[in-house]
Amino acid sequence: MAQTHAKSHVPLYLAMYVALLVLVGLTVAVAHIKTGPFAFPIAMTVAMVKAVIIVAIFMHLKDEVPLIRLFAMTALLWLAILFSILMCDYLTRATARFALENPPVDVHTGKNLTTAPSR
Amino acid sequence: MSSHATASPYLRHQFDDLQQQRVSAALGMWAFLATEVLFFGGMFAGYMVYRHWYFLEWDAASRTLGLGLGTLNTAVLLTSSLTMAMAVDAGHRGNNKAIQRWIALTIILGAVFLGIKGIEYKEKFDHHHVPGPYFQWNAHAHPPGKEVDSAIAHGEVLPHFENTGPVELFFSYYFVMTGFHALHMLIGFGLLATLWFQAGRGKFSAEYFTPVEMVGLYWHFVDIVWVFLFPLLYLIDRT
Repeated sequence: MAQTHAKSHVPLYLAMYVALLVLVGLTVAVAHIKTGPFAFPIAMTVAMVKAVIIVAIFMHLKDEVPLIRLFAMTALLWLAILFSILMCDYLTRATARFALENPPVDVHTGKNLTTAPSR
Repeated sequence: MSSHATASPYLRHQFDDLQQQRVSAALGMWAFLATEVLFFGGMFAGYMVYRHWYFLEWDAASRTLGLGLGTLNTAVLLTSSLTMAMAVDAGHRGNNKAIQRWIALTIILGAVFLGIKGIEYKEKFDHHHVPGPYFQWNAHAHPPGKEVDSAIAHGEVLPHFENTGPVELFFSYYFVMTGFHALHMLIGFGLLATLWFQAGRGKFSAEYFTPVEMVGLYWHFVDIVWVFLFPLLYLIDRT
């Protein structure tokens, strides 16, 4: 790796640092705009971009050997498994607040079909 | 890479050359960081579930956090990441003096971050927003005119909830997640201080500065945790 690092990275670091600060400003500014259901995805997208900048440039993962890049990516894989399977469970539970406040009703009798009363 | 002909004093005998030695260290560090991702990942997963279940309470609790201090702290920590990157860059040139300078700056910025965090924690204690027997929410709607967090200023009072448990839960997550993040920074201080002393004794050279690089990876990881904590805790919905 020593050869690839021969030239100075300082201008790149400074540029990426400015980009990170701009992204901080952006995410705070967007938080004050009414974006409704998009607020969470927007905030997470900005955070992801910041994380990618830090990982690729400051942690120079982009210059690392493939084996190390693979190891780093496994962290994301396990995290994706954790989040996706967990939320598959919780987002589909009848005890979730949305289901409690909008209980399923029998279309013919109008009777509440909820069987799980408490959360 | 020539190996045995010009065996470096930095080369441990179990490695073929310095390149392999460095890659081994980096691989181990990244494997460790992957476990750290999952350590924090468990807390983020719990956060996701409760944020979904108790959105209104968590939204209201989130607005009591000081956005100004949080944003400032984000900038401070990102700056400390820059100074850490500069320390590693100094390592590439084998400049121990520069390594020391940048590491000292990194520690100072980290201390500023924790200081601001301390002010925020103090605010939580003052407002009885710390989970436990003294937790108060409804009883203590901020009186208009009193100095309050920016987002709930303008004389706005805190929304009333029948069950304040979910609000308290938000603050539990706030303290545990930021607390573990702060603990990681304290550990980082120890690592950085060690590097500072080692650089002072001229331990590093352009050929060997792996410890600086590895601590750098750790420090940047802690920064990334905050990059996600900040929007999740402070910016749930400010509109």
